[in-house]
Amino acid sequence: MTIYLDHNATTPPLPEVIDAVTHCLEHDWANPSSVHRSGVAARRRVELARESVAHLLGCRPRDLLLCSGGTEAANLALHGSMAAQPSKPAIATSRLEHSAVRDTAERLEKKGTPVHWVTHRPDGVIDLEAFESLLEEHGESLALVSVMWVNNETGLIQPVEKIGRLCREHGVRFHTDAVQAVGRMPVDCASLDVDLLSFAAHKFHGPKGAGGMFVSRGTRLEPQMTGGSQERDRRGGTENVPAIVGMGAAAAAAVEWLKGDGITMAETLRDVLEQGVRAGRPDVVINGADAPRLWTTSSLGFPRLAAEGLLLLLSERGVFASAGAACASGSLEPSPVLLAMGIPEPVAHGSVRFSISRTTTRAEIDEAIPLVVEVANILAQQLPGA
Amino acid sequence: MNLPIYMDNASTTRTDPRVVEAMLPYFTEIYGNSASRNHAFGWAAEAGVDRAREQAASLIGAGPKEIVWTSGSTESNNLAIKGAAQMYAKAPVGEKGRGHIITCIIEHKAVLDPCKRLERDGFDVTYLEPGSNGIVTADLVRAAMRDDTILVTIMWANNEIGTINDIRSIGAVCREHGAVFHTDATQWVGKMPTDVERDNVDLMSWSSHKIYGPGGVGALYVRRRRPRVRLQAQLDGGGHERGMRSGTLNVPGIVGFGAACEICENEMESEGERLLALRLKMENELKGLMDVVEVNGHAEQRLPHLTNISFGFVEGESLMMGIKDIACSSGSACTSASLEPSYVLKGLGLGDELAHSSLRLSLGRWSTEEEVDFAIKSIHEAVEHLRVLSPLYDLHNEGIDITKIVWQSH
Repeated sequence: MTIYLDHNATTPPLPEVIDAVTHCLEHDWANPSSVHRSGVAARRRVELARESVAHLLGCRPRDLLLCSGGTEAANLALHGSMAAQPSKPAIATSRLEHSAVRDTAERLEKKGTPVHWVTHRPDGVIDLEAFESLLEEHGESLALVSVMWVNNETGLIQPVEKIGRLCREHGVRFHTDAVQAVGRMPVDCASLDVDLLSFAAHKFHGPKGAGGMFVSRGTRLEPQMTGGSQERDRRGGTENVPAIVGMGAAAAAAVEWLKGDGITMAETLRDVLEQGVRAGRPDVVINGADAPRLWTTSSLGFPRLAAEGLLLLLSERGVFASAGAACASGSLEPSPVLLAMGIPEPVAHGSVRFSISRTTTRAEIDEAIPLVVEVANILAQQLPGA
Repeated sequence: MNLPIYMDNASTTRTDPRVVEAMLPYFTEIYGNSASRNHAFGWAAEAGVDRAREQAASLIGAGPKEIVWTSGSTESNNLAIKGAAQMYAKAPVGEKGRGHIITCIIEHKAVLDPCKRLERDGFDVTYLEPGSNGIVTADLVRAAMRDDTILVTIMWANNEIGTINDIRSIGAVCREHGAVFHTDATQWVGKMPTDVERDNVDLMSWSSHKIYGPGGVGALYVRRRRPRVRLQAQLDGGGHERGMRSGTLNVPGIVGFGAACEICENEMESEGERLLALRLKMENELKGLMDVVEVNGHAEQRLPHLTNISFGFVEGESLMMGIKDIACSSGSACTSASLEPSYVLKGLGLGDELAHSSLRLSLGRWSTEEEVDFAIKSIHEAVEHLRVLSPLYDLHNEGIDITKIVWQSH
């Protein structure tokens, strides 16, 4: 038996996605830049997929830049915005970002770019008053503000509507890393004050290797990957046709899912998991519980226990979760994001991220709960003084 | 025989059904994130990636730790060229004289564009001109070497004309001068035997979709010893690929790429011989059937499966229309939607007319003799038909050298 509760790392591709990818590999595999019939057929598939993704994001197909995934999109947002606005030498972002943004910002800072670290309230939500003062003081020098929509470790939702509006009022470009939001909650670029919004297909049941960014009209980006006029001269390289087509199929499925009551049902599942674990282990802390959270994520802190041990015992029992971002897994350090949220080290060190998706079932959650409680009990008994 | 027939394998190749087969489990059962270290889904995905790394390394005589996965050759080239230049720069950002780079005017845009970017960023770039046969020799590279040369990037085989450069001796010249040597081997690897040790290569890019693997995956070989080559990462965030390329790995794509590498390693020799015979047949028969037919680039030092032929007195776009049942290109795919004559052919010194009237025909794993016969017949008919309409061809037949005519505007 296996219960996969690590959907923030990656999600299983849907059957219709696999069919679309396979069909493409077998039939529409030509280079979409070729002018012959086979090339034009591949181009058509790419553009239909782009329309489907645009529908999911509430934007025009031409506003979408497609690339290899969320990391490439985030890097392009930061580097491309800085290079396109040489008169604005600084950026602003937060310590709670995914490493695709945080590492890139830290790299820039090390090389001399002024990086303003946006502060947040104790619950993890960006402090809007402090943020507004930051914009008033430094707005003119900012090439970009980058704040993620939904946190990958806690599911915490940042108020991007308000952050975007403040940025717009101060004439500052705004990027949001929406990798954990797209396909899991309504996202409507048209009604948001957002200039750049990045996403990755494999987080909403599409294939790995495809993602992209909404780029609002008139937002100039200096391309980072050059050598071909693809994506309207903003991202060179032959398009990953099968993955893009798979992303289109995943987007269409997400649009349908969002129309129904899936989110309410998923929230119930998450609550069942959290209440079930807390019933067995009353000392468990739900990280980020005081702030608005997306249904996808339960970051559960087991005080004084070690996340690595919990994960190992869970894995032996067929329950798969993680301690934080997949990219950081294998490290024994507590998550820098949890620490930055002000979560005490003994809790951060014992925090496990359980993340669900629309393919998760009630039966899986019901089976997982006693196993989670059991392994926590085993580890707790080994503590000194137990 | 199904129409249209596909003769554009230098642009992309059909994914081998055996490759698709290898990929499928990684969409369904083994869909984990290979960076997930805490559970079996991650481990299984990582095992698939590790096996692919060995398959890719084996194809080029490298070690598995010397393979960095990317989204394709364009990204590999960008990472190699910008990453090496930034790492070995002789002066900081914002200053001039940051170092010298050698490349060639008929490289793919994925090499030329990053070089142009570096020029703007304070590096000097020399663009070698290979001459009419299209070959970049070690002597050309040696003559361009300077004390401050930090990087040489020369493609292994040209994507438009299929000519093969003297990579092993160019690599030796780079060693002598202590310059890092990168080669864009997108058209070479998987088709021709490659050994990065013997061939003196430090950095090498190649792509899955050119060797019967899926699109969206590529690799960069990065030498780890004698000498160890270091790169400045171009994508940050997560520290995947030993910090050189962050981003969740495209696991099914990588597994498919690995399988494609293994198939190429086993089959390239017999496949190359078969395609060489077909390509020679096509060239010889077309030249025998018509006059003013030129095969572009060096006659022998070229890839077995690719030819680029100019048909005088015929306009390339019209010719493409006349052979609708043959999928091929006139110029590389990235620029084939534009009507500009190919910069590669112009780089060889071809006039606009001949550059405009050329076809690139590239054969592949599923090309048959029947298809080649069909292509010869279609091209012959189309060229003859267009030449009947060409007043210039009439002049040529009357013995007038049209290049000597001075045209008057009126």
